Amino acid sequence: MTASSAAPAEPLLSLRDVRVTFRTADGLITPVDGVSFDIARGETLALVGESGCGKSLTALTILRLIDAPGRIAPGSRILFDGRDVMTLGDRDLRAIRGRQAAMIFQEPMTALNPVYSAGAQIAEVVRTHTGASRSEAWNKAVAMLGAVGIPSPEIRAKQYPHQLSGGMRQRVMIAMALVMNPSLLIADEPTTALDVTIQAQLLDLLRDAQQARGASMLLITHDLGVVAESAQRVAVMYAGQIVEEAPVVALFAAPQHPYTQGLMAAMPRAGTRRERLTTIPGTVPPPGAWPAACRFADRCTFAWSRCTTEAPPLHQLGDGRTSRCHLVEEPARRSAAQGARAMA
Amino acid sequence: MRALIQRLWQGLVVVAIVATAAFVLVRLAPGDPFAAALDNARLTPAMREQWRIAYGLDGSIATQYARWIGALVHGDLGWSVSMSQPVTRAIAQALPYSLLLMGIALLLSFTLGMLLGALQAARHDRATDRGIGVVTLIGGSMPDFWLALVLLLGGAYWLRLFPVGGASDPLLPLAATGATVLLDRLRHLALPVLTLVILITSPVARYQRAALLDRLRAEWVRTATAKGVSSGAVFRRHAWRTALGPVVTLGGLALPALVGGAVFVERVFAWPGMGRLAASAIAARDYHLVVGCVIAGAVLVVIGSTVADLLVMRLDPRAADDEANDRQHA
Amino acid sequence: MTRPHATAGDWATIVHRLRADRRTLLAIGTLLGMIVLVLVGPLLAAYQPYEQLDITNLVHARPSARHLLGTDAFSRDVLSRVLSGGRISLVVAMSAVFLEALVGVAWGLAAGLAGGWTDTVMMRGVDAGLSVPRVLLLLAILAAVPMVPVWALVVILGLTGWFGIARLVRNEIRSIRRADFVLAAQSLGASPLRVALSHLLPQVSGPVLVAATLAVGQVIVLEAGLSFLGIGVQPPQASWGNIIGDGTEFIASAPWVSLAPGCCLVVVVIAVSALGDGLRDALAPRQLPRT
Repeated sequence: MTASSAAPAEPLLSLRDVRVTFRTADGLITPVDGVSFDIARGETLALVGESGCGKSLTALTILRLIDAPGRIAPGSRILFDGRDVMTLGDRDLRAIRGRQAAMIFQEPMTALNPVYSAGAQIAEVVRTHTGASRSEAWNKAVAMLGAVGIPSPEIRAKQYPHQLSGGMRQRVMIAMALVMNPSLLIADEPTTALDVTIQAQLLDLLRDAQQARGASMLLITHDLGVVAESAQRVAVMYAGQIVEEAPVVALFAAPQHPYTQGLMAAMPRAGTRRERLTTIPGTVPPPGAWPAACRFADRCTFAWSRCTTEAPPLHQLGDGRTSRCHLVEEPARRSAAQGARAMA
Repeated sequence: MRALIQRLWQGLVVVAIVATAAFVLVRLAPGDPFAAALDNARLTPAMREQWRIAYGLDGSIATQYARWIGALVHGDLGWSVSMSQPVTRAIAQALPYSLLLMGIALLLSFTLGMLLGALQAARHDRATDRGIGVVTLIGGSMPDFWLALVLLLGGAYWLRLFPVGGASDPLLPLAATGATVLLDRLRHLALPVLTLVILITSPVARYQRAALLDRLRAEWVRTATAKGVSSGAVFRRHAWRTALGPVVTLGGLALPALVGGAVFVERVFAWPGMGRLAASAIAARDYHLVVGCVIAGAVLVVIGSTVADLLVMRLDPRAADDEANDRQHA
Repeated sequence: MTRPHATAGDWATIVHRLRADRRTLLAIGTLLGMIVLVLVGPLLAAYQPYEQLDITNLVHARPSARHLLGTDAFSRDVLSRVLSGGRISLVVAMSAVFLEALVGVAWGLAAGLAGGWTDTVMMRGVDAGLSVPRVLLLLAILAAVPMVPVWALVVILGLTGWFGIARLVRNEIRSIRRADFVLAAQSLGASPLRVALSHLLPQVSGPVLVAATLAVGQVIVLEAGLSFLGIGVQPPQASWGNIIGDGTEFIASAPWVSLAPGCCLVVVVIAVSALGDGLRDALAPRQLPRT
């Protein structure tokens, strides 16, 4: 799966140097600090990281859903289907939202309007983007509910969000996102709030729906298990920046960035006989308190003097891989540190 | 339907408590309508006693209470000494005036208040928002009787646009046309209604603004925007519509204040409603009438808040289901 | 589950937030100024509040340099009366609200902790209290016992106004009773009373403080209304309400008598409302967007 060898078609989505700033009582913070990635047509990119790394905000920038006191910094470029989202007028932007690119949010209980029925909220998307009549839109909504695997959709469509289970609410959200056949799905932790069994069902549903329509997907998650199931490529975020990007198999086989390695090691795996879970020492710093130079340095087992004085650039490693780490230039230090650990 | 019955039952209990409390309070009062009013040497104690029996004021408090409850169940609130008619009739005459005044004031205030609050939320933190905010702050901070006085001074004495008091002009010729009568009534209504409107619109506007600003931050608003819905429709369907419930609830909760506030306004403008009736009943130590007024006030409030609750249940489907949940878990 | 409101450790943050909010500072300043004025003013005033200066010539004199707010029907200096009346009005309002808060917190705490039948019964009583228009209730009571001394007025006002706070406290207690930190304290062997006092009370103190602040505004207007009707503070003791009442008859010829104390009331209520809002904002937990 070498994405860079063939002459690439225009990516569906292309983020370049996207920055989000927030004005707080303590000054200006930049929770998303220079993020760039592409998503090709029909491809699923997983954006992975712990809470506070900026992945959800990054997802919101695509449809320009960042509200005051935050804003997308002027230098950011977001190209969707060849057009720069940042320069679009209100009407053009609204034409894309929900129709060509649709979002699925994490908490369906709060992401759905409590006073309208499930069917009405799906029908709203239809009526916003087409001239469909009330009944036409309603029928479409019911059909969509059936398509996402909800039994007795005619009855469920009339029910309100609080009358549905968590899994069903999320299916409603997925139905809302799919009903206009978008070419890009942006799923922000779609299964985090649900049981593991439902998680698997919904991920399958998403994948099937996506493949059937030839759509692309940006999947935001903190769960590496989900990544392994659903994505073709992965980008790992830490403290507002992308620290590693790779095709999924390559990432799991040989993670390059120490943070990714830490995440992998921390994953509980069946079949191992370890007694204690490994953790990454320290905690994720909040956006106002990011260290200068390499932001992972104070938690990194390989760090040396250069890491605290010089910020590492995002190195291209070939084969569609990148890593934001000085170890790329000084690989000897990697084995030295590993050797030291082995002897300890 | 079950919710309605439950509400009414609760309301009944509340009215019963209020009635009992009022009864006890008034009975414990020193003073006696037959001591002062009939302070005539020719009236012997025996005759006073006869009057007392006739008006049901003899016997122990317990007996009086039992007798009174019996009458109450039949809709008989007793006899008003000061007005020489059944209490129910006195109240029935005054009630429509109060309902008219409060009804119009409520309707106007809520409409205006919701519009202003919505406007403020839509223009959050801009000049319009701040300007209206200042006006509602001042309007809601004025004492009701004082505002009534100020408006009376301005409207009736200085501008001479409105009459000084009452509900209608007693000197209007009997043959006056419908239009003249209507105009006269409106002129008399204007100042009292204006007073109440200023007083009620202010908290409604502030509450609506707060509720809307809160709803505008809701996650479902972001979802709607992400669906491509226009900002106007998002505001209407997803913010304003979900903020209606709390505002209506506020209306229900504000009823006691409204009924109370009307007392002062009616007094200043000599409006012949329940408030004025209650005030004069108290001055005359007319027990039955006082108790009758308090009960009537409580009943009004209970009916009003029941209506408000039912409205909320229609506006917010979660509330309707909460009722069912409460009953299950109670 | 985290604590819903600020606790003792967060008071520093709250004070900091209050200091940063200009409107709240203005409100506090105004209130303090008013309090100082009514405490010190009567001592410095040129005239006594009940002194009838010159019944032949100085009745309803217009405001002038000698009488900044003019004189009333009995040739008393209105400014002196307003200052002295302010003392009474403010003291009555604050004391009554203190009593309201005391009774309300106690009742709400008891009901919230007891639960079950006791809770239901206690809350029905609260509902009944909230259903009666407070003015009617006060009118009824004050008709039964007219001409009350000021301390009795305070008690009556306080005892008719605690229902809202009781319900507020009881609802708060109900929702945090099951909170983790309460269960933790209980599992460590703390007695119910101790749990109540050191863990639950601080939680409700915030909302109660906001409610009490706003209540001061309500009560001061209520007392003024009752005095206006003649059943509140009794003459010759001045209160803003009865000064307004005295001036009602002459509203057209000598409006300054009624207008001045009314303006004072408006200022106090505005300041108190702004302070209550500021407190509410300072106490609300701040939320950053999810990243």
